[in-house]
Amino acid sequence: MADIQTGLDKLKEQYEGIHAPQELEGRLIEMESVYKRKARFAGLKSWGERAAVFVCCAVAGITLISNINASVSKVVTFRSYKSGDADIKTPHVTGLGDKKTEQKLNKEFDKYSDAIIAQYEADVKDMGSDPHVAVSSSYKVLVDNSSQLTIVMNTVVAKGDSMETDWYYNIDKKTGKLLKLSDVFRSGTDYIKPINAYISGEINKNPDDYFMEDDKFKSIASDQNFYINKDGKLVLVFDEASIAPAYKGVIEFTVPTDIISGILPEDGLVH
Amino acid sequence: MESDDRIFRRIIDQRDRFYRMAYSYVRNEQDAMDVVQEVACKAFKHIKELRDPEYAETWLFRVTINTSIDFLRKQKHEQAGLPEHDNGAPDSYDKLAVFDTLRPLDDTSRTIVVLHHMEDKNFEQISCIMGKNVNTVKTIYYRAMKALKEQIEKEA
Repeated sequence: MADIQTGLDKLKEQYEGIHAPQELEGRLIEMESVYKRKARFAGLKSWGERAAVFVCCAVAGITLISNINASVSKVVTFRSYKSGDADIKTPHVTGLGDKKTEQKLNKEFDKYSDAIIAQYEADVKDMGSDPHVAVSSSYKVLVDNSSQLTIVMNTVVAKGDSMETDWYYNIDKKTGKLLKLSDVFRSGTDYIKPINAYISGEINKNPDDYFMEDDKFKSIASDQNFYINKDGKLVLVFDEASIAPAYKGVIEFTVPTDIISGILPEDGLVH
Repeated sequence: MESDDRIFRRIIDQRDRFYRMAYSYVRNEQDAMDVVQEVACKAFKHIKELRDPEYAETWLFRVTINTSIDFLRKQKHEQAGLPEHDNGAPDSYDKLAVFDTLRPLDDTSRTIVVLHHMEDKNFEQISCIMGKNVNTVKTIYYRAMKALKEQIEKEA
């Protein structure tokens, strides 16, 4: 048995002398970097989702009176948080016509910002005396007309590399409702199938620009991020690193109205 | 418990171990790297389950082995013996000789020997990694050692 033990020791020595090529380390470090980006993205998304859920809850069951005058609704910077490398602006809407809805909507904007501020402060605390984190969050009024108010919250978090998210709030002024994607279409219609087919078709035109295999786009989400642009076109929004490599940034698809025209309500916002 | 991103650090720091295991199956540098990369990708998808370091180690070896087997099945790569290696570094032949010595063993037997002797795993741990009964592992091991003894004596 001594001979075999010597032989095994030699085999072990040979085995442990095998090292992976340097290239493997580079590949794995790149994967780690992608993971961290995705994790950060997920963190950001959860803030947004929380805010979106709160807003949905706030607006549920509330119907604004239909004679809201677009000219009097205003979106203003209610609060500006500046600390170190954080610059977070919180919007408030005024003049919507229904004070109760307005207050609840504004409260949700506050909560969205509070979540980002809390995350920033926690990151700074974790990083000790030399924090490397910068957060910028601001808003933009994308559309404000007689029938629609759309506000986008743009948030960028930089920790080594940066991750950007755009979250859209579309308010139908005629109903006073914060719109989910399903609200854009006639009740009970299947909007998911034609939209998925359209997006898949667009991705297949330029497959090198998108994730393939396991991370390939499969379907829009039940709480899909979207907006209706000033021309009344439906635009679907995908966050960085969700369906395409992070360097591609936020991805948008403008859906041609003719592929969804059969399921749109006659007096809807999309046309 | 490890934080989620520690699993990547573990794979990066211990990449040689998973690379060697993958290499023992695929016998090709590029393919072995592809296997390890795929293992890291799978780890990313199971990241929440891999917070326990001990379980993560078992999981990583198991997935490395299964991914290697799948890789061979899918690619049907030729196992063309010793690959081109390290631009002909003088000691490369000696290092890879371990796989020549182990060549008489089938994949399962070789993996059990490697896990026991090279990775210092006990039979219980090997049983978990390979999804086989402990007694089955022991039986295969002792049979493999008999064959390996003959091979080592032959080479001597």
